[in-house]
Amino acid sequence: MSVSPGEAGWTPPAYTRLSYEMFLYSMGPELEEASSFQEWIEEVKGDDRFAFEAARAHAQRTRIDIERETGEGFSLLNFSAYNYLGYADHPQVIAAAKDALDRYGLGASSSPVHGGTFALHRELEDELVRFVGVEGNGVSLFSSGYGVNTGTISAVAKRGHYVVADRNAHMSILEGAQLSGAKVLYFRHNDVEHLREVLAGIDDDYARILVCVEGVYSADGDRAPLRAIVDVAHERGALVLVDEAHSFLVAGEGGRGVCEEEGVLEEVDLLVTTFSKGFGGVGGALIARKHVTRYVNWFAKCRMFSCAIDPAVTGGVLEALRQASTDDGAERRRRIVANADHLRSRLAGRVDIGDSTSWIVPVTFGRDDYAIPLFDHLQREGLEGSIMMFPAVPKNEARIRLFVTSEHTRDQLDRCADIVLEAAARFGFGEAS
Amino acid sequence: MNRSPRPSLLEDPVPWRFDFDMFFVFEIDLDAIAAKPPRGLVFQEARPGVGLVGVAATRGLAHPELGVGPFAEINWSLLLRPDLSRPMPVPHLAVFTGAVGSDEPGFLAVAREVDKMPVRDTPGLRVEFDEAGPAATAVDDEGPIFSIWNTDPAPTYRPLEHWIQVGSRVEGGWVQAAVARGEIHEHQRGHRAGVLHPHSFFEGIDVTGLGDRCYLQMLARPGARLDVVFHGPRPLGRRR
Repeated sequence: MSVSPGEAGWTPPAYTRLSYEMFLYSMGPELEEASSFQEWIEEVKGDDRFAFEAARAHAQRTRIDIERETGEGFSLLNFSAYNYLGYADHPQVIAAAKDALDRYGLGASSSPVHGGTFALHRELEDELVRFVGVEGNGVSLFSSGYGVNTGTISAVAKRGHYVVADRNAHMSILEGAQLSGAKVLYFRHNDVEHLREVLAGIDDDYARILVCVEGVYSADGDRAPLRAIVDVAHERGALVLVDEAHSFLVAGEGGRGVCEEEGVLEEVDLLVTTFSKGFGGVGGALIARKHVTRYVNWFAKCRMFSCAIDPAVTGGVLEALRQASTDDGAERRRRIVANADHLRSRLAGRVDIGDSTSWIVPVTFGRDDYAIPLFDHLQREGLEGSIMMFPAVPKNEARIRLFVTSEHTRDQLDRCADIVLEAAARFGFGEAS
Repeated sequence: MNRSPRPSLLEDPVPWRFDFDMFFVFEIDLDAIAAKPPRGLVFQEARPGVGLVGVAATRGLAHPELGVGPFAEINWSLLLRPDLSRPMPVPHLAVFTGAVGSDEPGFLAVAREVDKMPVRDTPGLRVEFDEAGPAATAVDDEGPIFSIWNTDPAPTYRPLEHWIQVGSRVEGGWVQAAVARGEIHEHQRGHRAGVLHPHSFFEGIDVTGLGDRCYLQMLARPGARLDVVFHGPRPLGRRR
């Protein structure tokens, strides 16, 4: 009889000890990393545990039908999609996208600075400025949320400047910092006193400093103490960039993110959002003083040298923004908070959910070598979550991320909790284990 | 990875046996590194601009077949991006060894002549091994070198096999495969996990203030057997 993970005598297969980061680099002349990576994939597939990149059969709803590469199909509870407010398949959002498609065509066919800006883009920019409500702001639209950070940071910071980032900051922030050529420094996650120390250690009164943080952190689901961070940064004369990818439209009474909750909307220098989460689309925006966004429009290379965001998505995102401003939008925000609270209440004290205060509920199971077997197990039990392991999180702090939405029902949340707790008992990562 | 090993990096095994091994990796700004890796190899970055320096303290058993008595060994290394085209299993780590010190001249002779390691005189080297922590402190006649201590209150040692790619600049550059087999715990909990003192042993890197930025801690169960096999070093540039 075969021994399962979590049972005495289980020998982790060789592939569980390797993670994709081991195939990131190879200094040899051949493209050996691709061949080695493929061998690894084949070993996982050979054990019938390859649960990644399974194709969805329809929109990201709370139940999802998927098909693995092997052809095996599953119908699952979907806690893997950050369609937080349900706008990815909202009928009015889809209708608006179709209207935009009919009027403007499939693609923008040009860079936004040259011939790719449509009236619809202007409409979205104006609506975003009105939504945030800070007079004098402008908007710079990007065709990818990732590109907002890489483009903005590399346009604002240059060689001789400093980028000071939270250690848990998203890869797009880190790559933007790297692209900029600025000196990159880090402070401990959400540790304002350490930020103060790092800033004090910059022995150059004339250097530009850009502090980069997130509103809600995607791996931990916790919030940044923005009030304190902005105060400390501005005291030192530093600019502050806040990435509200996981919080814009969702956090704050009006959906203006953690910046709204913390009362710093008017003080943050660079407010970043993506359209792929709360909006249910794709792309993103920088919201900042008008002269800054105009500058970024021209000097963010990934924007200048990319095609503008496509019309259908722009139309859908604009409608999602309008929906989020209505009473229904406020109701969705209340529901997602209640749903996340309910899921946490089912899991707290029984598994490790860290310091999450948001709609991202991480369940840390620790052992990296459980990641692949556990992901496979959860799918077979009916749950699609999002597995994270090193290097996305520290070693042996592997976790399942559960993205809660306003659209999950109480029954679905309870069933999700049951599956996770059953897995915790089986794999031995329950708090009491 | 069950790749069938091609011979060139897996010949001439030199087995080493230990009963204490700690390998700690600290973050280090790239501009604090003056040491240069062998040609064609570059430093691994934990994040942009942040490299990784490894410090190890080990206690070796007697190896009569090599003419080596019981020994203490210390070394430091810089983590590199690996070369996956080298015929060996996918490495857990790739390192460029900066210096190796020991209290046993016989060990240093083998390390220098056979393993092509950059040995360094550490007169009067004393390494205190604390099995309870575990922890280790290295001192020589020049002064304190480093102290490292585990910050995980409940280590969970498991039987593991880790392949490591090792490079050195001895006589222009060598690369070899090593494999460690034993009960190992690896974690990233806690930051203040050691102190690296300014000392000539660390020539090539500025270790000031690194202790607060521990990136990774690898521990073998103290008192349990850890086997590390070095496979014959090959000059850089000759892959097959």
